[in-house]
Amino acid sequence: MSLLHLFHWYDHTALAAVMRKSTWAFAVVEMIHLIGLALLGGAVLIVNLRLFGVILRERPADRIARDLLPLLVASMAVLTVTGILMVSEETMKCYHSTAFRLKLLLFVPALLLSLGTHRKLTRSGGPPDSGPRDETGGGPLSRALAGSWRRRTGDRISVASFKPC
Amino acid sequence: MLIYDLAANPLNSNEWSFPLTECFHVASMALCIGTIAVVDLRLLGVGLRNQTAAQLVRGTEGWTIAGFSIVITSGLLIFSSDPLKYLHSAPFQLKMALLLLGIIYNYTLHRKVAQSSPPSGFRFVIAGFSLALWAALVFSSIFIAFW
Repeated sequence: MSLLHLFHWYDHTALAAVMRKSTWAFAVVEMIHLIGLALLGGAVLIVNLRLFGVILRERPADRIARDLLPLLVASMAVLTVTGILMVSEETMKCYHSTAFRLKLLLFVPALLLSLGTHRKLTRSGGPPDSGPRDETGGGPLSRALAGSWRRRTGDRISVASFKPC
Repeated sequence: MLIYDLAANPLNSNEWSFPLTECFHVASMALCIGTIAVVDLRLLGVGLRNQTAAQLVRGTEGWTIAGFSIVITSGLLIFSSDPLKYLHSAPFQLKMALLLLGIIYNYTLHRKVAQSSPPSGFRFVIAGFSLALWAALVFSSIFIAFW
């Protein structure tokens, strides 16, 4: 099954019909999507600022990364599920949208890099006061990529509302 | 009489300026709400349990203020693209009320509780209300489009 067939199929599912018909469903899903985005932004920012040595310097980065890992994974799961639901609103428009394709292309490396940075940090171990050991090179790049995938083009319809593509 | 020409506003005359401003608006909203939510989750006993809420407030407050500054600046620009439409929008009015309440709440009661050691029940109420407040603000933002 090609990607085009997959989008065609998704466009004709009952779920897509419900999402298109209901104003509330889309709005609620979008709200959860934005809250997931905020939680992801907070978690990624705190870990990367710690890697830069800007905040929470008295705590080791591996401990911070370990504590925030559940939040990172949960917010990514929320974003993925709600993102898939939001796509159902305008499935074929998304398929043909360059911005949407770029977003997905950026999402994958950002996801891998964020999880990779966390994995590397949480497996590094070591004493709690070993701050400099945690200054790995993944932070700035991770932050840049994670920031990139969050950027998206919004429909010109509201202050903070955006369609998936 | 002073007449405001909407077409002269760069946000209405340039194809890229509005979506770009909206990108900054949404990203900075995620920044300030995200940093506040991390403190809220800590108060609820979730997330960074090895740091105190006071440490988290100190570490993130600059970023929260930066986020608020960009949100308000980009919001004013977006508002200028069609002031009358926004002024007459109930979700927009609700959003502004929630934003004002949220900022006051964040820098008074919420901050005081995060920097002290109150009983756990009260901490839960403060953090829960904060999360609900910011979620409501996001919801009202989204509904500006549907009203």
